[in-house]
Amino acid sequence: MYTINNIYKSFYHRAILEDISFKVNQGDMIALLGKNGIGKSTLLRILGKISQPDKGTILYNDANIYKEKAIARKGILYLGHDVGLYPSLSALDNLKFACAIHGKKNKDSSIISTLNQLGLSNRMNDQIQIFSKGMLQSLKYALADLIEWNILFFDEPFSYLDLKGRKSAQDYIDKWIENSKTMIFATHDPQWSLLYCSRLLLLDNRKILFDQKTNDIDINKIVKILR
Amino acid sequence: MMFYTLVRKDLLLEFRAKEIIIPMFAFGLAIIMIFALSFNASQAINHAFSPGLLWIIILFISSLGLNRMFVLEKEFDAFTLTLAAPVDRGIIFLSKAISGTILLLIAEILIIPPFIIFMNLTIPSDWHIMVLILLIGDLGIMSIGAIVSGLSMRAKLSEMLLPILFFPLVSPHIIACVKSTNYWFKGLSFINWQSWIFLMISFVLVFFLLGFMIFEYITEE
Amino acid sequence: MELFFSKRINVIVAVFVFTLMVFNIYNIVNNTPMVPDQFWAQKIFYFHVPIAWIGFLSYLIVMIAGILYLINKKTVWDHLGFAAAEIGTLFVVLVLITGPIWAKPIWGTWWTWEPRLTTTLILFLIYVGYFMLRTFGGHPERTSRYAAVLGIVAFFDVPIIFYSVRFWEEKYQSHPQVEITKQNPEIVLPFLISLAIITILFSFMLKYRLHVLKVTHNRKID
Repeated sequence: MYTINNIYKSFYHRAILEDISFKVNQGDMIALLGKNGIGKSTLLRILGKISQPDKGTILYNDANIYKEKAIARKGILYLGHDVGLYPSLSALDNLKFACAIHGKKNKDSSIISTLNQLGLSNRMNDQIQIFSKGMLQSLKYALADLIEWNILFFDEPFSYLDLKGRKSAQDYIDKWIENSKTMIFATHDPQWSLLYCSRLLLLDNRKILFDQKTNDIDINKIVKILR
Repeated sequence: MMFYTLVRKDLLLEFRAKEIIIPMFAFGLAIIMIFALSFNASQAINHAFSPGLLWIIILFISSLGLNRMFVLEKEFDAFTLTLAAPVDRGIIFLSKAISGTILLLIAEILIIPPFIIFMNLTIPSDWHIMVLILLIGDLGIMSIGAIVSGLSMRAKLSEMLLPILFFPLVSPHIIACVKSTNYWFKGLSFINWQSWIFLMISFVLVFFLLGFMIFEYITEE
Repeated sequence: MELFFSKRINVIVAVFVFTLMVFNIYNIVNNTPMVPDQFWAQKIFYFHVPIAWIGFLSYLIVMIAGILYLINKKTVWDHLGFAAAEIGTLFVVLVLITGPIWAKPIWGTWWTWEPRLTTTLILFLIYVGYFMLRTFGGHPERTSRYAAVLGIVAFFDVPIIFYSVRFWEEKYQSHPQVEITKQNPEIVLPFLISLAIITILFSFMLKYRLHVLKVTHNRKID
């Protein structure tokens, strides 16, 4: 479904990613693990076509995302580490725009009900620049709920969330797992990855150190590398 | 259509934030005051200089407006939303150029009455021609402006880099705008200055086309 | 060793080019006719015009290298673009210096808004921006791409700049360059020789600069 071939990326002549290749199959729930600054966010940004690799190709359903027209990328949803929404617009306006730009016409009522589920409906007309970081993170889940996607790239799914927020987030993730959706999460939490993800990708020293199904992995080995 | 969605978003953003048109207007007003006070010239001299002066003001406030437009995209990394969506980069360019033109036109509508008053000008009766000159002028400014903003958006010192790249590139277009405005102001018939309008239109066409094709390479990190 | 001049052939070519330039100056001083009303000042024409043409050629190379870089991302095109931009800007600065030196005795002023000269000035300003973009634009992998785009945009602007300034200052329609070649055929041959020699000099400078860029780049990646 999503094939990554020989991706290279450098900043200031220092290589961050070297010869990264892997294939994402339908229904894969992948955890991308690695130390801080190792290049997880960079890799996800390349996958979401925010950042251009120096070398390499990416195929989405056999279409090269760098050669085909934009419509070939329909179904890809990237949620970055930063907010990725306009601070001067309200939650409602932001979500309406996000849905429209992903080609989905959503009635106001469905957007409002999603915000309701996340406990944000009483703030939906406020400019999001006054939201707390946890509320902003919840908005990303609203986005993921409203837009129809086939593959999700999510950078740090649980950052800034309190217990209530985390439970809400986990509910969404459980729902997606149930529906066999394809997802890649960049995360710092190896325990959570082993519990929920079907596949682990460990990024270290510019390369993918290993790429295995969760059942075959020894957690101590991972923790040792992450230290 | 995506283009309409993007333009609507830019205009809504300005409507809520009010961070573009008001600074542009304030800055333009400040320049008018400085010129009017520094030169304190007779009406004849004012009439001679005002076409050039008007376009200098428009150039400066465009530079400010362009910078603001792209800073709004950088806050909270909002531009990522548009980039990650299935939208052709050329469409993003067109939407930026067109919404920029609209915002610039609004700022000009606000700035021209004080300009006329403080420079003590008498305006020819066929002002609709001036509206046309302003429209084509603004399209040209914003086409090259959107390209240059895309280049300087992610740079360090982007507020400094933008004018340095922008002013020389747009200068032939400004020459044409000033000439057209000058001829219109003097009341000469269109035949005399049609070559300038054609130059302006060629500029708009060349850079809209170029920007549309090349924006792909500017947007990504 | 990586030094350009450690290669025997490069030293030989360098000496050859230097000799050619000396010959060129000698040729211009001795073998060209004196133009009435202009005398020695006119001799600058044999440098000013070829340097201007080669400067513009250099910027054309920046545009072509830019297009090729965007198509296949090979570092060599990025280096070619950068080297051509540097040398082109150097030549353009020389044009802006020799222009006033020529203009003062002939037109009586240091600066005029003559279309070619003004276009050259605007182009120089655009390239100041180019080097600022290269320096402040971010990491080199990105600035290479952005500089390629700017090189393309700049060259598309050149004809528009030229025509706008030409319409603007109509009294400068006849540049001495055009007038002179109409008058005296004995001028054409030394001019063409000078043009050829300056082109050779330019190619050599380009080759040298490319070598330096390649070596520096290789050192940085290690």
